[in-house]
Amino acid sequence: MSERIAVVGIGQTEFKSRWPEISQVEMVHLAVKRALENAHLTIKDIDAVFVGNMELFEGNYQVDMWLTEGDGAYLKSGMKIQTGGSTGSSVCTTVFDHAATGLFGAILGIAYEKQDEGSSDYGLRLVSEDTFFDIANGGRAAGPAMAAMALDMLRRKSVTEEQIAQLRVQESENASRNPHAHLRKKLTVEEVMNSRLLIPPLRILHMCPASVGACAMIVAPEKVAKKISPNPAWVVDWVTVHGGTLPPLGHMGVYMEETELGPQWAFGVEQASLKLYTRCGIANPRKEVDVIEVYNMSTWHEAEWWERMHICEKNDAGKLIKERATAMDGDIPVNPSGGVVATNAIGASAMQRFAEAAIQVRNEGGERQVPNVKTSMAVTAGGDSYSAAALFRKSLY
Amino acid sequence: MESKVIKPDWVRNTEMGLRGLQKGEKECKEISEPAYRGYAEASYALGREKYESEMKLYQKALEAGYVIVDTIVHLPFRESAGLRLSRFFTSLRDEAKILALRCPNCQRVIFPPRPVCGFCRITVGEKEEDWLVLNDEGKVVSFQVATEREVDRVTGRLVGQPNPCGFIRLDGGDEWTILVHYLEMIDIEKLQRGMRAKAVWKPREKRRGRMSDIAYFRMI
Amino acid sequence: MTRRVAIVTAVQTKFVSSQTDLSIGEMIWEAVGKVLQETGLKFEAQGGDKDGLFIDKIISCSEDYWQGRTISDMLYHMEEGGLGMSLTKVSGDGAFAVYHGAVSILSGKHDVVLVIAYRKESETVGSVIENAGFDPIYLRPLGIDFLTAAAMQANRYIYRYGVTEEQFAEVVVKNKGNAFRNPYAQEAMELTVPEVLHSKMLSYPLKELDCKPVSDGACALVLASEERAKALTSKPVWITGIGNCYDAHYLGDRDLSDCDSLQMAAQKAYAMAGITDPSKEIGLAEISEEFSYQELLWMEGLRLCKRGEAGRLIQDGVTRRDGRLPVNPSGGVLSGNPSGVAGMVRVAEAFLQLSDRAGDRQIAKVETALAHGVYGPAGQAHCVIILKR
Repeated sequence: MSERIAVVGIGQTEFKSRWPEISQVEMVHLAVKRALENAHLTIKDIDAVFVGNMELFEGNYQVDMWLTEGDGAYLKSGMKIQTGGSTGSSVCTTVFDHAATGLFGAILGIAYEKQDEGSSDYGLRLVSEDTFFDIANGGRAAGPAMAAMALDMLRRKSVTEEQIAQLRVQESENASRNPHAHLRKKLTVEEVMNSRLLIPPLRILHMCPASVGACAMIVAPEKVAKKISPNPAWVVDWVTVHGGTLPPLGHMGVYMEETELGPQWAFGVEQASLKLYTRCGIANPRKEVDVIEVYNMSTWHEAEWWERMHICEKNDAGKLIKERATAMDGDIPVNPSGGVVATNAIGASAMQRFAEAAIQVRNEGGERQVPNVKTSMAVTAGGDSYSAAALFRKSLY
Repeated sequence: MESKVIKPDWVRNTEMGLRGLQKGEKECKEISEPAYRGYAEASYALGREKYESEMKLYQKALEAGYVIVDTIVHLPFRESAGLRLSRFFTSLRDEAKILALRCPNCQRVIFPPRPVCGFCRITVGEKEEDWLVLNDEGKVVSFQVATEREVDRVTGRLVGQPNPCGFIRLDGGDEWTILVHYLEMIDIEKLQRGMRAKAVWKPREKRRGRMSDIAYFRMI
Repeated sequence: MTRRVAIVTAVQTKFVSSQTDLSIGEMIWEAVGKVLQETGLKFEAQGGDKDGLFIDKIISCSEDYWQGRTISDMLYHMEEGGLGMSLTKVSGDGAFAVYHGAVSILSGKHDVVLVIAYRKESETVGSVIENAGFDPIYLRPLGIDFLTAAAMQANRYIYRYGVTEEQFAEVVVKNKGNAFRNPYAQEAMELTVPEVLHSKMLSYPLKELDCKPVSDGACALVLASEERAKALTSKPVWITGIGNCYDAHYLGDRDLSDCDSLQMAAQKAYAMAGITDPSKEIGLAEISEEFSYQELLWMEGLRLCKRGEAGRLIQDGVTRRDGRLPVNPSGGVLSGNPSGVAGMVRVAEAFLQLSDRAGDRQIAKVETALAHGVYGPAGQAHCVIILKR
């Protein structure tokens, strides 16, 4: 009924602030080429191509049409998926669903962002700009919600500001070992603590950058994967949960701590993680998973997500930081890639969580490889609490 | 006959933006609160810097031989508020009353009014008893002071007003009730989560059935 | 296919030129609310039914550009029933959302999928958006939109295959006439070929009546695995074949009178459905014809007839309601559907036909039907769905 599936190829471009010398098509093409090389395949072996993109960031309507010039979709199946910040992971779950039908050979998924081309601040401003209600020009209003979440974390002593700075340093150390990351400079606690205050307690170094780049992933069902790949990352299971805060107001502006949905975007992360654990028979994720990639759009979010994913008790995120439990040499490494706080090409970021988790299981992480990874997990979050989670294993049996 | 050099699109568009920015800077003088005037002026200064660095980038790209195509998409929208929001906005205009809905099943307050309760998946707002009036006063649960705002790249202007933006839980609603609106321009140090605020309504003849019928919320 | 997928219900709003009374959210809820009423289904996030009968995934189809807002669907998650649910969004055309829904079930990961498509074309300027659908470097600066691209395709089709503007007009007469029997259709009109030919020329050879009108509306379907489908309805309609395919983008890279991507999409669907001669085995076709000539061109790409033959077929009455192969008994897209929703409406109409719920437009004794969706300039991407009683 349901085919077992595996990731057989991954390709990423470098990620930077601007990339004026190549077009979107060329950038996507680069990621696709690298994925094909990594999989030892040619475009002829690909049956379907799925693209993720938020059209109002670059301003290209139905961009999957133009992209056929470089993504290999010419005369192949596919479609375009778009779910906000989680788009990259929605592309992955779409690719996974298609692969699991057994109707396709190898399938390619692509997620990217070339924000330097569009007026993405304008596109982002339009996120919460409901015509009728948002007269106070939202879009930047993600700030207050994040600040409120951070204040709440401090209030319930989940973390201290210094611990957040330490975590940011840890994230930067990881990113320094990732050749694809955007912000690779190793930071110090002093630098982070003294960086410019945005909305207290958020500091500029806590927040993710705006990056440009592309990520591509090739997935195949078991019978194909076994033939073509010596090193598949088996996708054991995948789930999506849309948390849903209360747009247009709740999405951006409100912490919602007093409602049952809890902090912005946390509901989706928690529900998706728990659903994945139940379906995969995982009772103790901290012990049973070897490495996790989470969508940390800020350092505060990473700490919050640990609690939401139940790898520690509520209000114990600070403990994990103190113990360095989530560092590369800790007992539950998180974000060896550096995560979103080091690289955020919005469309690609969610796919990169899945890709990096798969890379870990395939032992292709180079300097960022965690030793002896058998099981990895990826959890994403995005606009209006879309969250996807997936579990990868080195071997099926 | 003089030969006239045609400027690249991006130069023309940037110059257009800069002209708008200049007008915006002049209008800053009209902001009564000095702190907020300062924020707006700082935002424009940042906007200027951004234009200048963009010009430099384009120039570099040109010299390196890269072609960059500048397009502006002009798209007008005319959206229907719908049955429930039309009633909501009419009530703002004619009665200075803020309406909300209550789900007859779970009793949650639905604000702004929408046709369905997201939890129960049932229709709301067709029966009169689903409607309720919220107080125009409430608690500021969160806020943002735009000390640095983005300049619209096309028009060169700061979008919206210089006021802080508040997230107000109106009395009469429940924990789901939040209204996003402007707050009065008070000293940033004095702004605190949990403060109470009350709507300052525009006079009837200036109200037109939009959220802007409330000028802003003042702290009480 | 080891797992079977069926459609258990299909709902449409009445398509109108301008839905000024309802907001987009109210329009979506009209469709979704009807679906819930008809099926009695709840959503997984509501706690579900003990028999495991609940909607476990929602796929919506809409495009940000038409609302001027990124993650535009975020405003409507409540109306879509999406709180706490597995929710994803496809852009392009509603038939692709149906395809995705079928895949979700065939993957073994889901059992009951709600698919929704909606658009209000009246609220903005379509040609500006369509222009943004072309690559920004070569084609967009020409000011081209989907109408002008279609006109180029129509011209090429005439040149290569000798079809005529009269034959295009026959499509309009047939479809707008069929619309009288369809309570959801926007524009039913009793027309003659000369009236169509004399309507205002918009982009040679396409005249006003050759083009679909601006339209607002929504459509929703429920797909289910075999077991669930049989529990939900006594007349499930089986999806026996699916296929979709992309063509090249740059208009000059294609011979616009060729239908390479449509042929491939159709071939995939036919192979899955075990159909070897579609011209004989398909009893009814709902084809997305935003422009009149497209009904003929796509028919040929679908191998419902030979290349160049579709014009003659329509003149012989073969594709009329009472013909051998009725095409668009619903009135088609020409009678008024928003693009992006149109493909899902074709599936809905085929479903209604095969479940004997098509009222006055019911065609008798159809076993196998075809539904088609398309998006992208001059039909760059196509989707074909085969349905069976």
